[in-house]
Amino acid sequence: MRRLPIYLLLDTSGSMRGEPIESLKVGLQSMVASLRQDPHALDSVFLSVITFDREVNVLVPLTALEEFQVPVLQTPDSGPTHLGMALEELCQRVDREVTKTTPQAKGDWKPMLFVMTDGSPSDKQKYKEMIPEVRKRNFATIIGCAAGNKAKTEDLKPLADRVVSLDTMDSATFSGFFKWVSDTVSVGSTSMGATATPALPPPPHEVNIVV
Amino acid sequence: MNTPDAESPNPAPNTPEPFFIQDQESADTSKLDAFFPDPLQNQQDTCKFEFEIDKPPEELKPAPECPSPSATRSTPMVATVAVPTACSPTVPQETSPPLPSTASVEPVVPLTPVAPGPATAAVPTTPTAAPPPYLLPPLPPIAPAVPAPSVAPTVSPPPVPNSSRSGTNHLKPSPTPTVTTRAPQPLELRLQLQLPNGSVGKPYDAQRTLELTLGASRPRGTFQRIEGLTAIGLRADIQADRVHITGTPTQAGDHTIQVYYSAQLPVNAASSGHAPHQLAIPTVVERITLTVNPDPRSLWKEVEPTVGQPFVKPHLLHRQLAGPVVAVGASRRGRSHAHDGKFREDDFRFDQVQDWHCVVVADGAGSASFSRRGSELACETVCQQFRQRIPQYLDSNFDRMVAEYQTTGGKSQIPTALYHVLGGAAHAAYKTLEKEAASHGSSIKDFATTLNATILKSYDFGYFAATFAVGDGGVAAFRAQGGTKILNTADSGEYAGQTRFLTMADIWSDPNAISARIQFTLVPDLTAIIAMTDGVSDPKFSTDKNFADPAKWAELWADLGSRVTLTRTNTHASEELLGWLDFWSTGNHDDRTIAILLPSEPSTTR
Repeated sequence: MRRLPIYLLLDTSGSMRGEPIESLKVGLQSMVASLRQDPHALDSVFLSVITFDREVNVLVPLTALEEFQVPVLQTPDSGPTHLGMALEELCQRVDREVTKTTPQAKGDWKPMLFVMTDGSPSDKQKYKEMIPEVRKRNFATIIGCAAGNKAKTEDLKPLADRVVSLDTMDSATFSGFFKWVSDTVSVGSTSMGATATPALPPPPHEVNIVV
Repeated sequence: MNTPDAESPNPAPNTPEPFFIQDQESADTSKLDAFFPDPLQNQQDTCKFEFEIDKPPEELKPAPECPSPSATRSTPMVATVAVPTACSPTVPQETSPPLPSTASVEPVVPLTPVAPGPATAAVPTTPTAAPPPYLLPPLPPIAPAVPAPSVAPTVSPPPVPNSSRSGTNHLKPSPTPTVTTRAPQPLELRLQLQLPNGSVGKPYDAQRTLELTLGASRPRGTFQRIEGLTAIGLRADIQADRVHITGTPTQAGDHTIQVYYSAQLPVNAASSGHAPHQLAIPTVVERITLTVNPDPRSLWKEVEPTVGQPFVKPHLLHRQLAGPVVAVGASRRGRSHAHDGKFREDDFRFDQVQDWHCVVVADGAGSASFSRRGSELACETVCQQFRQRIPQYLDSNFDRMVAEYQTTGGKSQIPTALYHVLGGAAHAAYKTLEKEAASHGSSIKDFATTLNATILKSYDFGYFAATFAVGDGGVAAFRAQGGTKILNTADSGEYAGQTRFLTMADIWSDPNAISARIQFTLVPDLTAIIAMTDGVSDPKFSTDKNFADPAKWAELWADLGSRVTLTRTNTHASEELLGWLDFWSTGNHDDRTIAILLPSEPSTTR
């Protein structure tokens, strides 16, 4: 079978503490529940959750949607947002986990990447260095999500094909975002293009497309 | 016989043998112009892969209601038990150890829910609606005068529920029990129980041991019962601290189940000279979530394409041609296309031209809006072209070359003739699609399709088969006795769904590359020519290595035989083949097409 690998990079820095992190979890749960209703996704989607704050944690390595369980998300009190480090870990993961076609192996679909942050990368140099590396991994699409008013959409633009912003970080907003993620994944699991970014479904009103 | 039984006419990469150019001396040169591509003309075409999009962007379905966080916790629930770290002066003094017996504690310790949850205190023995966390009130009999036994570890402020990683704990035991008056600090009694997800219709089997945490300590406990399983087709066998959940889930969803257990909390009184003892919590109930996936088979829908679209194509097709070679073929719309209300994009066609039997299969690209027409037109055009080209190029002279090839192994002009017939027909199909696209005011990309075209002739010394192929899927000369020959090299990219199409200009830019797409074989015996689109080759072979493995072809043949009577006399073979195509294979729901040529015995015995 052909797998569709989905990587979620989630900001768990101190500023996410409290309601935002709880809302994020609710959003993740609704995304997974929604994907489970899609037979395309149920047969092909594999999910990985990587969080970043001071540290980078692979909370869930690439796991079949069928077996996936929403992980416990934890935030430190404060500290930097090491998105660059997270991208480095991501590249290593992709190299290890995503299968390319060989005579002996059936290749996966091109992977998809969603990056959510409520701030901006603290390790700016590393972040800049990693962007071309991430690009080399042939993601079918990279979506950047700037959540809340402190998030800088400018920072995500060089990385992502598409940047969206969320005005607030309550559970309705995150659920809206992740519903859209799941729709995007559903579309991805049914139609992938090597030469073009897969068509994105229209976002819900909570999600603002940053042009 | 001593014939090399398979050879590709294409030259080795380092020693290009552009037989097409050699052929320019022949009288037929002028006739080739129709398909003779000018390499210079297409020089700028870069060789690239395009994705074949198997399925269309589907209409987005509404997500199911997002359950509230409290109902969907798949992480361990938290029961908060307040244990006094120091005793209030007003608490009655306990004069002698041991500290409260379990018997004395049991009836007087109601588990009081803290928010959220019903405000009523649940009696331990009737914890009907008792969502954790709970606050266990301070124990009355512990006295300040006696150095207070501390529950290990003593506690700092409680962590925010849910914010701790499982298995870690932020509580630092204070080195000595404090005796100053301090508000009771709750410790969390947590059930560490995570059940794997189930799937409707798939056997479920999970064994777990009761794991509890209270701060840094690991209290022991036993399961009492688990409620909420029978309704979803599961049962729990409990043996003290172990539970074995089995059964076959019947209901999809995030199910809340109630786990009832008792716990013995360790109370470390060493510092006070008291013997360590345990505090029994008779019944705690926690709700955890058990996720059951739907059976994907129940989610696939059969949706009709919207009315009024051009190029309507039936979802099912089967054809059978009688004759010296029996042709049996079937094609059906894949589940993914049915789910999204799209048309079948595959197609196939048989033909017979003189003594030659033709089978053509094509797989329209999912990314292309009119690929269903592309595959149809490609099959049609190729067969029409065969009717002109076979009499012209595969004449008695060709038969002599095949006979010579059989005895000496010399290819002679066989590749050139095949180039004219197969390459020419495929190129004509490309040109036809170009015109078709233009007449509809669209791009040829909208008609993108793969193509596998095979011709077969039976000689008295064996079977000669030749194929032109672009894209994925494949064709083989299957020989049940062994020696199966693969007649194509699939075009596949690094990632799934990447292949190449007949409609890509760069396919036609290099005569050597075109001739490399033609392969032929001469075999003394032949069970069948089997051609298929990737909707069949993906689930049945999965990798290119398997596709080249004769053993896998034998498996396929046996598999076919289980549903289809593939004999020359069965007049229902194509219908049966259509039924066979409906096999289930997880993740493989593309359109499926298979077309088979069943030859008669060679006309003379060898």
